[in-house]
Amino acid sequence: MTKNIKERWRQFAAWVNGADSDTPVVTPEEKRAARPHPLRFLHGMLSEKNEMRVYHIFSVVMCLVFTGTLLLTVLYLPTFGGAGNPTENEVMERYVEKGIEEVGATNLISNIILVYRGFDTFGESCVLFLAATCVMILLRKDEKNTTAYDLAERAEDAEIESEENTTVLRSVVRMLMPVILLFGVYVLLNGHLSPGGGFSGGAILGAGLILFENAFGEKVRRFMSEHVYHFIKVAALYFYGFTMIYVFFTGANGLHSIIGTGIPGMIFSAGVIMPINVAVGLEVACTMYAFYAFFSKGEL
Amino acid sequence: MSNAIATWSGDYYQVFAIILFGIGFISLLLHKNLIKKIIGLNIMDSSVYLFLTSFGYIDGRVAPIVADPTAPVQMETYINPLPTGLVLTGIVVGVSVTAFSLALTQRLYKKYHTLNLDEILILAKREEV
Repeated sequence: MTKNIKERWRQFAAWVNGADSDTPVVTPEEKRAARPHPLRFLHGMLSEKNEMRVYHIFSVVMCLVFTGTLLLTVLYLPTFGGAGNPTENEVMERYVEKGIEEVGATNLISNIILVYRGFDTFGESCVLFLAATCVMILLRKDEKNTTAYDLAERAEDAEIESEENTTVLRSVVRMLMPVILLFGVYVLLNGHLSPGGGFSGGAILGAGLILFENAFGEKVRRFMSEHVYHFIKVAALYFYGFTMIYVFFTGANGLHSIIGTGIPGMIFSAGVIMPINVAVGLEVACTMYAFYAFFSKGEL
Repeated sequence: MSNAIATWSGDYYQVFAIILFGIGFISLLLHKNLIKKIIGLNIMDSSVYLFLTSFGYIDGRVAPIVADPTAPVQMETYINPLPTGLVLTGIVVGVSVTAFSLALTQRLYKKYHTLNLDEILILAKREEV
């Protein structure tokens, strides 16, 4: 009888905490029996409270030892900010002094990440592409895995959206949206002249899209369908890959590239850097928006 | 010991990065909530970026963006651009890993209706039997 009351009380507490009524309830005894414990050999020797305490103390001590070892290592590192450290070597000299002459961008970092180490950044774009694909595989809801609960949730969302109770959000977004998009495009197109570039510009554009979707959901979904998303993502990645192949082929064989470096400091200069920045920016913006859409709704 | 303190206060960027790493690591170990574990992983990520970029800094020099491209570029004017470029890769990979683990967490929550790692493991074991 007492056990029954306890069980009911536990269910009530779970319900107060927001759990569904069909949520399986885990008893503390079960928890204790099944706990994956690094200190399992102590099982039964200590009470549960002490067992947790030992685990916490062990974790803190381990973390402190780890941090202390790393701090001792810092003592043997070169001085912070000192000229003539081992990092300041001929690699840096080449990148800084020949960068404008060989590639043409006044932002020396975009010379490095998009041309000198272009394949590195290409691999990074592929990682982002793969992450977006994995998120899509895990979270996508189509007719095969949509439950009645999901449908009810979606209907509720649509109802809330149609209630026109987003007046403040909408008027603020109307004012902010042009500025955000303009700033994103500026950062994208000036990646070779000023701080910024494909990844930061794409993140700004993606954030703007997410904000826009929150205020005017229908309008974004009309042009950002799944086909458009796949087309932009794959086309940007292909463009990047083929441009990189061309640059490396002509560079390695000493051929004359038809894409000149232009006058450094002008907007149409630095050869392939600006188109690549635009391609990367489009891909990053699409991926950011897709992350948001899949996490919130399970579809684009 | 006073020698060590002098070195640490000189290398304060690295010291702060390592303390941040410790904070992320301990929250990865002690929290049971999966979202908090992922936040701890992100803090560890950030500490690594801070640690790497601090090696590119050189006192009294400016960011590697050439203001006057007509004049010859002197290496002594600019900081090392290489660590900054490498950290960009790390940031994008960190974002990808975070998104992937959050997606897995969402799937786990849909199945077990809890974010507590202990409870998830118990429920999974109960299902096996």
